[in-house]
Amino acid sequence: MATREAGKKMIMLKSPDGMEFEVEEAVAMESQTIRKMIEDDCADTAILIPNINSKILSRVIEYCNKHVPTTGATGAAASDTVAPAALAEDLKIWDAEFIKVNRATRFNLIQAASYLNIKGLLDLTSQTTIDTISDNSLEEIRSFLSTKNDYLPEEEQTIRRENQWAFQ
Amino acid sequence: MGDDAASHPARRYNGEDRFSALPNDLLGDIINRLPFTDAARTAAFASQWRQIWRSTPLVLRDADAHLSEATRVATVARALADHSGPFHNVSLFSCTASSLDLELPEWPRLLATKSIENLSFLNKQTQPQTTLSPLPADILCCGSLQSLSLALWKIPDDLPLAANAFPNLRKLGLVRNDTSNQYIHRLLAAYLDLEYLGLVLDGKPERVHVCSQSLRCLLLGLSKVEEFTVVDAPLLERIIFFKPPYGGTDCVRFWIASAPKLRVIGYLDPRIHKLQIGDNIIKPNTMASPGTVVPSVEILAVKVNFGVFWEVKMLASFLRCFPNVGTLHIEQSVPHDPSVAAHEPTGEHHARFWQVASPVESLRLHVRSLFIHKFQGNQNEFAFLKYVALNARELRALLVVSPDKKIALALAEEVNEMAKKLDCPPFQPWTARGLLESPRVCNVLISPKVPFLGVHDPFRW
Repeated sequence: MATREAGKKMIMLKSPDGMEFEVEEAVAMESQTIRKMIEDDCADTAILIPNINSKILSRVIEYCNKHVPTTGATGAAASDTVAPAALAEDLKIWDAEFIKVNRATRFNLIQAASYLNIKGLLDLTSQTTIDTISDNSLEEIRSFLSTKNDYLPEEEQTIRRENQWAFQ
Repeated sequence: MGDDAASHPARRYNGEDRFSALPNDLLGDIINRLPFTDAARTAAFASQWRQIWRSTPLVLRDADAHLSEATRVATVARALADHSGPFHNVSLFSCTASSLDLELPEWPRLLATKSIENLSFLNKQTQPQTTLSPLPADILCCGSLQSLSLALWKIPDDLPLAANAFPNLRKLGLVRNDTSNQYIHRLLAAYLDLEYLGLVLDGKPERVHVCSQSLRCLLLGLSKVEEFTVVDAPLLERIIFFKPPYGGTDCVRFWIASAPKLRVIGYLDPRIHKLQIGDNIIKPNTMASPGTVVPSVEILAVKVNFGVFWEVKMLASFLRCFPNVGTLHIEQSVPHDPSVAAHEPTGEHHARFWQVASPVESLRLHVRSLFIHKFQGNQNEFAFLKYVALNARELRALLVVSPDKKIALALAEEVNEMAKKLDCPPFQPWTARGLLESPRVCNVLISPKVPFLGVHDPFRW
């Protein structure tokens, strides 16, 4: 396993399209899936991340880099001297910029966050999706989600009757 | 970046149906972020979505769903009746038990049979009542519960409770219920794996004794409580006090009999908490002795009015009781009666007190981070800071916290000036910084997002 500067352990992540990403172990371990692989000693060589292309994987790494708890030169957490409120505010602004992506990228990020088990990223991507679809009519949401309605008209009526309380 | 379609949801998207291509459990997780009525409506999208709605554990928060007063309870009742379960989370803050009884008399049994995991039920009072409605016995038969929060219920002493009735329960919140110390005792004995206990008490009961072999975190809002005793809590790590949203600054005798792993405590307020450690009540002139210290505490938060001399002395006493504190939070509490402070000794007196104060071990040898919240920069505060500057050998960071950024920075500058003028060899370089105060979490029991055990230092949030 590669190591670099001040004994920071590095991990190699590989996307299916052949790109390799060298990241700090701590950053990679923001993903619970990768954390488990490392803890189970399955990470001696490069870890292949299936189904996540290099473009999405690099965004995911960018996210983890930002969200990993930082440590300063003295070994003390940087948060010892910075207000957590300010840190949290900074992260929120950063997140809002990060998630300004097109829908296809967002769906890919949801999939990646789910597979890699990165709770913060899954929350961010899912919540953004929900925020865009809330407060719209059923037809608008259906259209936004580009979901094909496979109900016959009478079937749809039955469904609506089934959950009538939700349609009042 | 950002595409047009995202900002215009109504625009038809002709591409691949990517969203529906996500795995069903992931889609279920996403629709559960919607208000429950919206989530249910997704069943009408397509057959796949109907399947998702039916197979996703129910998340129902009545407060999120923008329901009108007239239909709220009926809608909640129908959702509980129609969803086949399991129930992941049901949070009721706007329903009364009596109205739910009318709409769906079997609701308590439903919660049990549909395997509820997380239940919060604030039995909303339509008018200030003298008697609270009794908690249905079935609630205490929900063996699937992982967290349970109950507010404004009568929990009678004869309510049946099986031993280890809740093998999965980790969090319990009891808010302004009418219940006895004995019953709380029985609850704690029945929950073998309970880790969090939140208690907001309004004089019922007046005395509480906590014994738990599993408890790790205590959140307390105490009002009209005479005595609170941590009798035996071998795993307890945190005691966090918060002010109940209604009245209540009366004195409570807070007795720590045995909590060997206690690491975090605060905010202790000398006007409210009459602290007792072991057999000794901590007084303004209490000295450290084996019977008056809790050596495990590393993070301490204290409220003190620097304008009142005995409170300052209590601060010194608290610091002696917790000799290994590494992170100290002090909040300058605003005097409720300014005329009291007017008769108090001046800054010089404080400076003399700190000079002759017997060595405060935690400050001298352990405190690495000191936070002063609501710092005002008066003489008495500076007398304390001088003492800190001259004695705290391990101090790495001093943070002066003020809601106003400019004031905080100016005060921080003043503190740095003061420190520079002191000519003292053992003094370690430290710098005061000003920073903004973070909004406090007001109702910790209702907010599931507060990671009280996960956050290293809860007083910084």
